[in-house]
Formats: sequence, structure tokens, C-alpha cells
Amino acid sequence: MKRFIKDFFIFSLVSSLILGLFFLVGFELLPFRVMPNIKYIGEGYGFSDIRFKEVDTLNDIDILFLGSSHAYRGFDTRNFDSIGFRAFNLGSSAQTHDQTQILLKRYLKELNPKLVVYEVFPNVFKNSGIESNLDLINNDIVDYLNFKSALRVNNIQVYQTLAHAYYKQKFKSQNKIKSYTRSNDTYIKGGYVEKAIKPKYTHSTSRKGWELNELQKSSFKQNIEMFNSENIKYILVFAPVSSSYYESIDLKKFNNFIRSYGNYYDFNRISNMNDSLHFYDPHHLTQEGVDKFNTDFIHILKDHVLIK
Amino acid sequence: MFTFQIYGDFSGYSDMAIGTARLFGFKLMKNFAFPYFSRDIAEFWRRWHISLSTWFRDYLYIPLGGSRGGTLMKVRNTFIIFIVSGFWHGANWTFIVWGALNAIYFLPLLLRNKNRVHTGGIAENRVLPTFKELRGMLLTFALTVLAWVFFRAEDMAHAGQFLMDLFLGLADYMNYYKTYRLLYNFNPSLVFLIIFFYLIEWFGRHNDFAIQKLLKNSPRIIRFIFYSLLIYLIFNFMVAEETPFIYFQF
Repeated sequence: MKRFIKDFFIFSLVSSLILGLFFLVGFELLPFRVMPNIKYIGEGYGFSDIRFKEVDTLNDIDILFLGSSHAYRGFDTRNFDSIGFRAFNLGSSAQTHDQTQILLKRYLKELNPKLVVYEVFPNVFKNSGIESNLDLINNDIVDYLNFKSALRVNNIQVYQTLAHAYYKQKFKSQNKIKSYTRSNDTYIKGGYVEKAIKPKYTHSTSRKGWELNELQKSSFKQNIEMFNSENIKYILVFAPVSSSYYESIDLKKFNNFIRSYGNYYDFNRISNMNDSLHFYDPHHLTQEGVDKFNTDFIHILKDHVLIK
Repeated sequence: MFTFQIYGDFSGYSDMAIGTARLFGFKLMKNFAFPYFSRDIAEFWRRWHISLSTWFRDYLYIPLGGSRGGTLMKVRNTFIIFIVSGFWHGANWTFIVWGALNAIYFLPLLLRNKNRVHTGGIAENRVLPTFKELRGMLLTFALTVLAWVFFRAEDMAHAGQFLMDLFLGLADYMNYYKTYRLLYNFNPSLVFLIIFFYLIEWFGRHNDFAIQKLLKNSPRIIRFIFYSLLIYLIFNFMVAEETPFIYFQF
């Protein structure tokens, strides 16, 4: 037994060093095609690369938007700038509450917003957080917070992408931003992404159950506690989705859960959207839909004196 | 690909069980003995899922009379054992056909009393197989792959469509597009992995387990590098999503 433990210890030590070397050689020499567990190389999905560079330059804003693609594709910061609010959209692709927490820890103090608009989407609560984790790792700085989050998500793609991103951060020059337009998406200063696409009617009928991922639930709770402890005003918003999609969600359970954490605005009940005109997929708004939603949102901001 | 997937899946988890048991001092029988190097189908069934094959032999084939009796009895018993083996995997016609197909493969050997020709090691005392051995291996492998089509298919229509595409596909231009898409999305590292896997299996074929004694006489550091390379390959290619063992369903 003693010999087994000794051999195991020596092997663990030596193989860790050799493995590290293999990874370094792989990062340096192998094409990504033969490293299938390293994800999202190149330009940031959903313009996170540009967004995280921009947020570094800001402080003391009025409104901070947080959440998934429904946030960065749903709150057009130009609509808020035009009425005198400095707004920034820190949403990111499939941003889970665990990733929101990392962003809050990194940027909340500097941004010091008067109001946080926290977009809540049912699916995000049951998401493991892999996509969002990869997005953050590839497009923002890599630090101890990412490492802790990777341990919580515990996925081989997250670990490998984290190792690669850390290597890139340490030994390679940062990628320069090539374009503010990718496919039919355009990044707008302030974090919003505008999609140039025609509306498309899509009917979503399958009934979606809603169960909570414990990690997301506890992260969401901690985020709310963070706002409270920092005395930052926040509201919870469910951005509009197509009516068929909305009806397929287990709303009673979801709404009851969200309401217990603060002021909750479900814009599916406030904004009168048209499935054929305002959506390009079951749960993303066209620009016309975004403008209508933002107009309704600004009315609520003013009517409820959420921000002065 | 399923041919390698099912072998890696099933042989891999058998080895995990054997290794874990060994850590606690229990020695379990090996379940696979390099089946894809088999020179005929009879040898394949002595090397594939050994625990089940042995069980069927001892508790079904021999009580039925085994190879004793006339030719008709032998044929009957062979069909029964293979069809029951197929049925054991699930109540689906695909498994029955898979079993029957293996019985058909087996019959010529049985009828010519050649089902126990290859009981020794493969390419003993040689690095490479003889031409005859290689021909036998390739033919057995091809027959096995063909049988896996039925094992893998959702139903008989699915298997039929697959075989139609395989053998008559050249006549359908849509298949060219499918092939193009397949090649375009194909991960070249898979080819590398399969070659690597074959090499390890080939060089370790005389041991109970392929890597058990491989590089045993090499310096420690060489062995450590080799084992680290295996760990690296596992990290690099392991599937990120949780995938249950294929054989759990059986």
C-alpha cells in the first residue's frame, strides 16, 4: 500500500508536468479542429469581446442592463441615451446568473448604476451555464472568478477553454476588433446588438416544463443580495416573447418565484406585441419590436419613478 | 464509427469494472480479447463479450446438446443460441436479425468443422500478420460491421434504408451531397484516434489488456510520458456532454 501511494504520488506529479507540456504544445501547434473541447475561438459570439472592452472604459452610469440575449438584443441603449440616461447593456449570450455574478463582481463598483435592469428568462434558470461560461472565458479577462465558476459548472470544455484562454492572455497579444458588423448583427455603442432581419412568424407549441438549477438559483439569490447590500436599486424584467412561446411556459411557477425576489415586470403582459411583426424567432424581437418594447419600458420607468 | 464506439464503450466499461475490482483484490474475468483482430467469426465470438458468450455456451448451448448429434441439431442449436443472444439485447426485430445474421456467418465454419481453427494468438512471434491472417481479419471485420447495422438501427426500415444507401447509394445523387457534408464536417482527429487505438491494440494483443505490459521494460520516464499522452488524449477528445454507456440499456 505504501509503495502504491508513493508511486501514485510520483506519477501524479510527473504526469501533471508532462500533461501541462502536452497542452502547451497543443495550444501552440495544433489546429483547433483537432482540439474539439476548446470552444468559441475567434470573434466573440454576441459581440461579448467588444462589449467587455467597452465596459472597462465606463463609470457612474444611470442604467445597467443584465441578462441573456434578450437583454443585449432587447434593450437598445440609444433609446435611453436619447432621453438623457447613460445606459450600458452588459447582457451576454445565454448569460446565466452564475456568470452575471462574475460580471457584477468585476464591474458593478466602477459602473455604480442608479438602476439595474435584471432580465430574467425561464430557460436561463435551468441552464448549466456552459455556453455562457465559454463566452465569458473567451471574451473577457480570465481570473480566479472564472476558475471558481468553471469548478461549479464542472465541464471538460469549460476547463480546456479556460486553460487555453489563460495561456492566450498570458503569452499572446489580444485580438484586435475586426468589425462591428458580423453577419446581420451590428454592435451599437452601449452594448446593444441590432439585428437586420425581417420578422418571421414561428409558432412554438411544445410545453416547456420549468425546473430550477440549484447553482443558478443560489447565484440569482446572491446577485439580489449584492444589489441590496450595495444599496443599488434593481428591477426584474421578463422581456417580450412570442405569445405561443409565452403560453408554453410554466408561468405560475416562474412568476411566483421571481416575484419573491423584488419588483418584477413581465412585459408580455404590458407590451402588446404582434407575433408576425415583432419577432424573428419565438423569443427574440426585431428592431421594430425592440423600439416598441423600449417605449413601453421607458413609460414604466417614468410612471413608477424608478429612476430620476 | 458505431463499430468502434460500441467496442470502446463496452470494452472500456468492462475494463473499468475489472480494474476497480482488482484494486479491492478481486480478479474478474476479461470480457474482450481484441475481437476486431479475429480471423473468423467463431474466433470473434470467443473474443467478444466473453462473459455472455460463455454463459450462453454453458447454460444454453451445451444443455441443448451442443455440437453433439446430427448436422441438423448443430444448425438448430447454433441458430437458437445466436437468436436468443440477439433477443437478450432487446425485443426488437433488429436484434433478432443481428443474431440470425451471426448464426449464418457461423454456419459454414461449423458445418466444415472449422470453428475452432483459430484458438491461439494472432500473429504469434511476428510483428505483422500473414496475408492469410490479414484477409481473415478484414473479412471478419467487414461481416461484423454489416451485422452492427442491424444492431444499431432503430427498426428494420432504418436498417434497410441504411443498407440501400450503402450499396445502391451511387444511383442517388442526394447521397453525394450527404457524403460531401459528412466529409466536410468530419473531424480528422477521429482517424488519428482510430489508428492510434489499433496500434495500441495490436502491440498489446498478447496480454490480457492492451496497455497492461506495453513499455513494461522501458525506462520509467518513457512510461510516464506514454500514460500522460493517454490522459491528454482522453481530456482532448472526451465528450463534454454526459453520455450514458450504450450497453446500459441491455
